[in-house]
Amino acid sequence: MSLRMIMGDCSSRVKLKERLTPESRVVEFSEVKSEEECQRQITNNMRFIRLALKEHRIPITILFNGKAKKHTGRTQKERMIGGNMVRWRYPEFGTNKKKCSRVPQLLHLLQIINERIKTRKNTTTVRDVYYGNVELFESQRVTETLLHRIENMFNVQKQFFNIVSTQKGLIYSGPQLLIDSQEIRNECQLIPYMTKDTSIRLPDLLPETKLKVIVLEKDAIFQQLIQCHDLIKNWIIITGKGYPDLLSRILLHKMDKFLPQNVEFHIFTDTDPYGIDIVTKYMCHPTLQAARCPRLIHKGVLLNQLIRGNSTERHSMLVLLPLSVRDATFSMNLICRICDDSQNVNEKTRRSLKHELQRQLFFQRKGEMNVANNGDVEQYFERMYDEVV
Amino acid sequence: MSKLFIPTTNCGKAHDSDIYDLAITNPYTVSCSGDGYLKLWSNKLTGDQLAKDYVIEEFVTPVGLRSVATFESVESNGATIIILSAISFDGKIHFYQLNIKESKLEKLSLLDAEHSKHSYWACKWYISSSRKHSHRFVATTVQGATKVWDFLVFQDVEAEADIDGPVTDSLVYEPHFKFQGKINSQAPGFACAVDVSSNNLIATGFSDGSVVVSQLSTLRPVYNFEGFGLKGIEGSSSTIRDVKFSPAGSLLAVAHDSGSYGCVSLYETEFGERIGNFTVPTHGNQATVASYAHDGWVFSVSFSSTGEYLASAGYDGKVRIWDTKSRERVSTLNINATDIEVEEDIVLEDEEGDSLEIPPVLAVSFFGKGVRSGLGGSTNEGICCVCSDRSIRWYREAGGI
Repeated sequence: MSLRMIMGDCSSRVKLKERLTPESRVVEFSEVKSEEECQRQITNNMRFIRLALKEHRIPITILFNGKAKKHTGRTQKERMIGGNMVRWRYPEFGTNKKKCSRVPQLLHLLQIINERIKTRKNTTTVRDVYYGNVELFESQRVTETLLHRIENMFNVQKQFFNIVSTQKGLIYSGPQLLIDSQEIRNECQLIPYMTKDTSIRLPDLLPETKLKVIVLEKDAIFQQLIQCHDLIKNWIIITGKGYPDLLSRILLHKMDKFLPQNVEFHIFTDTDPYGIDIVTKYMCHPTLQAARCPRLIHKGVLLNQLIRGNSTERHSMLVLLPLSVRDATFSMNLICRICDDSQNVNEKTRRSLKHELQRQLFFQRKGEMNVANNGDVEQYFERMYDEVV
Repeated sequence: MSKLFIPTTNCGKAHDSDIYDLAITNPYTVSCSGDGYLKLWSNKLTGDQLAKDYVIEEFVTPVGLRSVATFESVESNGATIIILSAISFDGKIHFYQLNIKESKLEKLSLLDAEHSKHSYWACKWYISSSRKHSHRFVATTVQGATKVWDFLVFQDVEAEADIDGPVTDSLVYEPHFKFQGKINSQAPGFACAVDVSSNNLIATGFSDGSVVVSQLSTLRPVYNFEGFGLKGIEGSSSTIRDVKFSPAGSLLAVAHDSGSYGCVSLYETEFGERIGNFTVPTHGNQATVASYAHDGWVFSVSFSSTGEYLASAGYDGKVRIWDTKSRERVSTLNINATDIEVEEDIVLEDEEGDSLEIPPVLAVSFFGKGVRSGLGGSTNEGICCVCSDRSIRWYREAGGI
């Protein structure tokens, strides 16, 4: 059969391309229930792929359910329809480099994962994985996206593979705090990695002590506040440095679970739409029960506090910044989201967050926490909790 | 010359959240609030009736309402039509018509699907007194455009029908909009305030401190006012808070920020000249170079029915009345949360524990003679204002009884 004959058969370029592409063998990855099952599936599929490519010289198509986006809670029904089924072929014919290298990247990552599951205990960060083969992965972004795909492929979280994101959040504790066996006392640490069974204890806590858990949006405020030793001797302070990572949220959830009921959980963010969004991020997670902290109360910083706290100066409102069109659009969407009943926010918080967003929009102003009480963070917190001092 | 206003009645805890806007129709004073309610307070109360007992409540949206505008007109078939438009914090416009007989609100949908997609910020009705021109509805979008619709109360009649002919019974009540066009802004930015004058001008105020005056008939910009008074940080702390034309349309009052202060500037509309600012005389070491009207942002201004006086409402908890000819202050109303008649309804601090003893005044409006009942109501004009202690207060001009 000559090329001319084939061309005669195919009326269009697409058809010709289809005709010239060799048949491939389909290798399917599907969702798993246990680690053993995951290991078995990876090992078997790898063997199958090797056989096809090496011995039979047949191209392969990898079929899996994998969105590049973050793991979102899909219902059983959605999974059944399989709307996100991806087909990746190897070798890829006549397309760009990015497309050609994705199967090797995927397989390499699966191999690493297989090893990580085997070794259990110690964990690897995403960054470590990327540095394991920089030439292949090219950027950490690629590794992250692939990992998300694999999470969706097996319908698990990446902790399942003993791979974690690098820690971002910081924690400081006045009283002695034990997270499993790790002790935190009067010092600032990265939020430690935790497992499902990690427990949190405060061995020296007297029942009458008024313990507070303070969550801060900003690292700058955190660093200033941990210098005020007298004020914070009964406080645990956490910052997620902007939008919190999952680890900070899980820690807060665990504190919510393990600390006594009289412990107050307060959060302080900038008074802009993003600050309010961060509050909702700590309070609720769309799918993960273990990352919610409904006990959290939004205490500040509020526009009114900024105006009043600076009232000794004549131009107190100058500390506020104008709301841009982008801020306002974000804010208008956020306000709808907060009012949506499916969000797991209690009524009082919902009201106060809504109120603050409305004020920002009406005044068309936002403010940074750094300027509260003329930039004196200690004074701001003293006034906030004047019964403590 | 001073002009005194005395409180007639008030109502504390009128809403569960901040009240952001106010509009006055003949039968009702309308307020809208962050709690998502639209409330219509009866204007015809006898001396012993409390405002709270005569109110129509309508829950509109959980996201809260930011602004309200009213349309009130006696149409050619003799019926009075009152339509309310409220803008919520998610940028949607909600329309209601008032069923006067049954004292209740009925939802209307006047915007088509295409226009409902956009987010709006402020709106205004233009009530035409001539049958040759239709009524208009003007709304500004978050992106800065000003859109104009014709508002037609009755079903469209055939084109050849004689407009000047006798009114027949064939008019079918069917309120609807016809999109006229839009005025795009030169620079992207919020169009935070809008007003339409009786002599066919539209004024749109932007958050960056500029005001564009356009013709209603052609939708072409004619004047551009910018750079008021002192500029603050980033050149944008001169946000326009409100624009209002005088009843005859010859004056335009603009409320804007000057840093922490609130200013009110006056323009005449024929040649687009700036007349000047309304300023409080400053004495002694308090003197500053700024000429401001309030020690705090001015959220709202309102002309009296003759255009002789202007009321301004400020974050400093004051309502000031100005003479528009001499540009002198004729009166100041100092609002205090403890003014409220019913003691249980006094709100001294909000949910976060902030003091509201001197509550910021968020909206103010003059109302004409004969709108409110009660002593002097038929001979004197009055003022209504809403404050962040969740209250509504009504005043009337003193004397003449």
